[in-house]
Amino acid sequence: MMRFLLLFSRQGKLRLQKWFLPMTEREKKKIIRDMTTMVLARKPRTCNFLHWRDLKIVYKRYASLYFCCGLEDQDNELLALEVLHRYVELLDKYFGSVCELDIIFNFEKAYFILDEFLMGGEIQETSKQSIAKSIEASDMLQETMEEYMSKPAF
Amino acid sequence: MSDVVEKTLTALPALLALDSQPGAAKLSSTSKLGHLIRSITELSSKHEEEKLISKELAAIKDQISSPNTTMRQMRELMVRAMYCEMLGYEADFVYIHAIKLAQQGTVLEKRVGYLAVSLFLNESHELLLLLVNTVLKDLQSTNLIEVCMALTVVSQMFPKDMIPAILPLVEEKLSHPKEIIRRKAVLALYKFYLIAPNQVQHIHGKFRKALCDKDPGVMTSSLLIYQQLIKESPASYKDLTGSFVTILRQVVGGKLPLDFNFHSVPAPWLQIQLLRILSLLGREDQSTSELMYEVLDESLRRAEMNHNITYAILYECVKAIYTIHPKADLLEKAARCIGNFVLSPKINLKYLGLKALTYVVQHDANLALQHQMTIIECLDHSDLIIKRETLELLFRITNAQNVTVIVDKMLGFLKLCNDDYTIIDLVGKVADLAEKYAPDNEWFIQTMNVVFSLGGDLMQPDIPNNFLRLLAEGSDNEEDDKHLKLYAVDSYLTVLKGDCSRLPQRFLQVVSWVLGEYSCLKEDEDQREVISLLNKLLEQRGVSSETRSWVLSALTKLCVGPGCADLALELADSLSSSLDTVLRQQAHELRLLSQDSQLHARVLPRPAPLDNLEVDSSLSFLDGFVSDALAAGAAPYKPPHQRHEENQQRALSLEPYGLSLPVSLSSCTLTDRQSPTLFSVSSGLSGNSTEPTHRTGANTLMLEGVKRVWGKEGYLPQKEPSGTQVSVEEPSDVVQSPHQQGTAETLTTQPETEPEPEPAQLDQEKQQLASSLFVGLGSQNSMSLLGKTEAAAPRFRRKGRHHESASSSSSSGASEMSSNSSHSSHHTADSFLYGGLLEEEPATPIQSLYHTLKSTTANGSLDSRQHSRPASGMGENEGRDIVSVKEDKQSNSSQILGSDMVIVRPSKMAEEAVVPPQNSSRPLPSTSSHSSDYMILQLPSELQGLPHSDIVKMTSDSHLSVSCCRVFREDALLLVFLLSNPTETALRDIAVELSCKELETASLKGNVIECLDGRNSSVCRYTLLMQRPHTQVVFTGFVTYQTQPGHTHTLPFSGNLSTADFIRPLVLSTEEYGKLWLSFSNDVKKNLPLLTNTGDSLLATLNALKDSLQLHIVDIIGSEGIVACRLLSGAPCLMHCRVNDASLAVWMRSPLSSLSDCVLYHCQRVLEEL
Repeated sequence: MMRFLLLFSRQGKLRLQKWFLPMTEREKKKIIRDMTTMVLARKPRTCNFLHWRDLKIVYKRYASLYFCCGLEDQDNELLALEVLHRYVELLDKYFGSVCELDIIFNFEKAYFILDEFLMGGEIQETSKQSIAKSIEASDMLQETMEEYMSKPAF
Repeated sequence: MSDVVEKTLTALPALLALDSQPGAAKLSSTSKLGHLIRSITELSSKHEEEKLISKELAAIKDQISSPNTTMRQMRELMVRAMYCEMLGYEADFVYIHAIKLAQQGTVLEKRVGYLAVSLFLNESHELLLLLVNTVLKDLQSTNLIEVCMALTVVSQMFPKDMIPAILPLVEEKLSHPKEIIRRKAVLALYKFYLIAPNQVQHIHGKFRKALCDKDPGVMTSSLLIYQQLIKESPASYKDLTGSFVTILRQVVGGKLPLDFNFHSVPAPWLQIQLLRILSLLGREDQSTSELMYEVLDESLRRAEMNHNITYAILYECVKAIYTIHPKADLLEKAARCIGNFVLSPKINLKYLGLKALTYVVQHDANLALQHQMTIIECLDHSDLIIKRETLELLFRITNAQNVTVIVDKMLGFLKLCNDDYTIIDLVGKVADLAEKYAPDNEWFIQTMNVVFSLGGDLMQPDIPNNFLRLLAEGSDNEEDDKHLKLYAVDSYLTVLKGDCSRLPQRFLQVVSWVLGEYSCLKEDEDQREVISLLNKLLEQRGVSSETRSWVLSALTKLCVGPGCADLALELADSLSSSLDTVLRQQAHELRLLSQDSQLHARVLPRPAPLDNLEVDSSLSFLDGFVSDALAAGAAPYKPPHQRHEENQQRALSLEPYGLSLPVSLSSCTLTDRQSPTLFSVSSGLSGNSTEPTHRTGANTLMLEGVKRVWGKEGYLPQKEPSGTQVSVEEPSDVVQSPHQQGTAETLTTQPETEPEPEPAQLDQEKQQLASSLFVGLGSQNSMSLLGKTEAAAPRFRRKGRHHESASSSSSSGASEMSSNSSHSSHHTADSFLYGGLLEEEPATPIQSLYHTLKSTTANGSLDSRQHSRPASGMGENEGRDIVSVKEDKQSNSSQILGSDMVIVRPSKMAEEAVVPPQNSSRPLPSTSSHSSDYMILQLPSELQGLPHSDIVKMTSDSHLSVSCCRVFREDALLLVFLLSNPTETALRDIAVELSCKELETASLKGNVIECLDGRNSSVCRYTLLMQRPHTQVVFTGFVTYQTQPGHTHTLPFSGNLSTADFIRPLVLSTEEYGKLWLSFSNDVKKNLPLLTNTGDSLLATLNALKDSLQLHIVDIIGSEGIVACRLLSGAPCLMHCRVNDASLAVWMRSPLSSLSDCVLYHCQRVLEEL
């Protein structure tokens, strides 16, 4: 089970955080700090896996953003790497060639996509199409409701 | 409404196709959030950012609390607040608004509201309670999106105690027509299963339905639950193996819709899940394993594409093949597959290859040989992570021949490493290897020196402790021992002569202990030099006061003989004004001892006699003193936790101070001076012992050889009780590798043949390294190289084990035993809760027990009874409906005592009264036909053999009456609720809910009954476990039922339970008792009244206690008695009673201090009531 997922920039600025197990604020802060320092210190062409306490850390850099997740002992690192990749694909599909700015300005959308993809630290939906569909579904519903509400009430 | 949503959903793709840019939301960069983000990026300093954010937060606060803010504006504000929180600024004033937004907003705002809640609050936040209603409402919504959101938030953050509120609704969603809802519901239930397994016990049947769901997504989700279930008890799911194999075969064969492909690999997540489940099922089970060989082979074959995801599958496949019962050709294929990983140029794959190797060398060490050159390369890899993984692999293949090289590599890595967690781990491994395989003394000591200096104060404390114990106990070879000790002394003198300001405290402590103990073995060395070196250490800044104590202890041991006395005096003087009281006391002891060499020789005999080292941790020699003091009216000693509790109860103590202090004061004496670390722990209770060799210095290091005879002579005969030895070496099952033959050749030929002709010089070095690393691997026949095999006998065999069996029983043995027993008892408690109790019950949930009135005179009623009997056939499987007659009026009356439960202990008498002989259909005297208890209830026959209380009526109304009986099972308290329907009409949908916040409750059987016919009864069982003792607990519950559809009635009930219900006798021998007694340190003492009206007052009193509290009287010797009990099958509680004039001085010990208090409380009550 994935314990957490963090997105941060090359400067170590946090862009998204998702915790799949309850944690205190202090622990969260500590993990964020440790992850950014550890991952950012990695040299190029080293492997994408790290250890942190009893967790396995899997990270991957996409453009200026680092995607980093913490796994439990029995989890498969390669699979986690593909989970990250799939998430990037989903973001890409939603935003249309996603960049860091998209995620900064629409971080809540990034969360929604993640919620459709992972649930409780486990993959919920592996079909790219269905996720896109359900996200768009909720998005569209919003838009139509808004339009509906804004119509003059006569 | 749902139709509308459905239509919208289906129409969506078409709508979206028109909009070529799905990321229409990009526009929001012009919003206020966009403005905020831009202004932050423009700032140059952290300070400015803080200012800006606090301004922003103030603005949000202002706007959000205004009543005119619409939900839409609220949503926008919420997003801004989330952003501020993400930057690390607290915005707790918006939390409540987030909940409000989730509650009141439209779908769109709701979603932001839920997101904000999940980001802001964690599961212990009090505001979370306010969310329950919203979630309940949304779960019932007809809008799919709302249901989805509610399920997401539920699985994300609902804590254990909030789950029951929403569980029925989530459960209901398992049969929702939309697969996405079903999938989310399954995942939510999986989450619930993880945090509160017994709350979802009753849904297991529905999990099977989810497993058979027509939607592959729902099935995949349900596999998560099954993986967990199978992990916990593989045996109960073996029947599913065939299904899992079939599913996997279909997936691998590409039978799933293309939608599930990921990079043209069919459903990789599903495949991996199945592989994991299969490996759990096939482990150590040949027949099950045989079912899966074929599909595993196919998975290996199909996963040939060169993509990460196929490697992920292969990795799991290899692991599965090596976990299940081995099959030669599969193992061979798997080994080849590992080769692909290890030899891959991709570093991630190499990493996983090393991991896979680490896993498989446990089964077949020769695989490491095949890849030795790669391993050597990885050992020098620039990436520390790869290096670390390689070391892990080497650790697994270490043997006596290659230990020096491998340990050298590990130490080399340690010097580079700066991650605490890794250091602790590796240091432990090095110490482990050094102890097991050390080739000689010098190497061992030197390696340990490096371990101590690198591991520092981070390492596990048992490393230095074990090391010192090893030195002290030595081996069987005396000459060798002496050599080892001397070498240690020499090496430490060198260490101290150098710069020791940077050495870790632990190392210094080890050094000073060894010097204090063994420097006298060195005849040529002047003791004064050692003393001055230690003295220097004492003066050094940065040495902790704990270390100073150790040093001072060592000095005290050394300061004997001519010339040293002056030094000692000087030292004592300089420290006598120290602010540290411990040091001051030690200095004082040093002064006295150094002046009186006879005393010194008596207190610190030399060489330290190890075998009869005794610590009287029970302070029995003070028994007399204590009971005298108690008799003289002193307040009994109360442990701190008890005092603390009492202090909380009343702020102001109006009672005069008790007289209990002198005990602890007098205990700080000379002999304690070797106990630097123990002081802090035990200064209150550590006493001087009657034995001259009370060496608590050794106490912290080795709790060895404690021979405690509590009370009078001979309770603990000086012999080794059998069965204390805990076997550490468990023979691991040997999986014979197909490569076994010809391993010898491989070993010798590999280094020469393997490498390609490369730059010769470098290569040669590597080969040398290889041959030194992998030496001894091939010769090992078994796959277990973890040092578990007998073949690799540890060099330093702990003498302790032999000597334990040879001479007195030791406290370490005792504590080992007790920890072991407590561990295992805990384990059994667990397995009983989840296994035994729940699974092994007879499968009939409803057992119909009914009884009708018998009357010899009325033939008609007899007939009607016989008619009603077949009609009541709910418990068809059971088939042992018992018709029996209550003939005992007394027990009849106790049933009607009312809702308050009367504690009737299962003494023999009561048992006979309650349990009428089975199937006795003797006619009742006609008087009892007037009894209001129309139906006479009885326990299910399989429970009647167990001790139990009377059946007590809890509550009733016109349709249903509820009675309860406590059955005292060995491992739990069983509450059996007997529901009887005195009316003629059937009741439907009966559900019994029981809750108690102090206890762990689990429903066993029959808490949901679909139908209860008229004049019929049914049984419902709950198990209760008490983890923490409480004197009294209240349980509450209710029964709901329907008389006719739509008419639900609720019948609440409640009752009391006491610790006494959870106490079970602990049967052990006097010797075992003595040992157990020593391993606990929490004391509770109290004087209880003695029953004086009989001859043997002690026996009478103890019997009275035994009868009412289920205690076990272990032994009675003279005026003392020992009694034992335990909390269910968990923590024991020991009781030592001693007659003291007209009272009984009771002294209790238990690992759970509150247990002693509770038991004592009940003892007191019992005796007062008598």
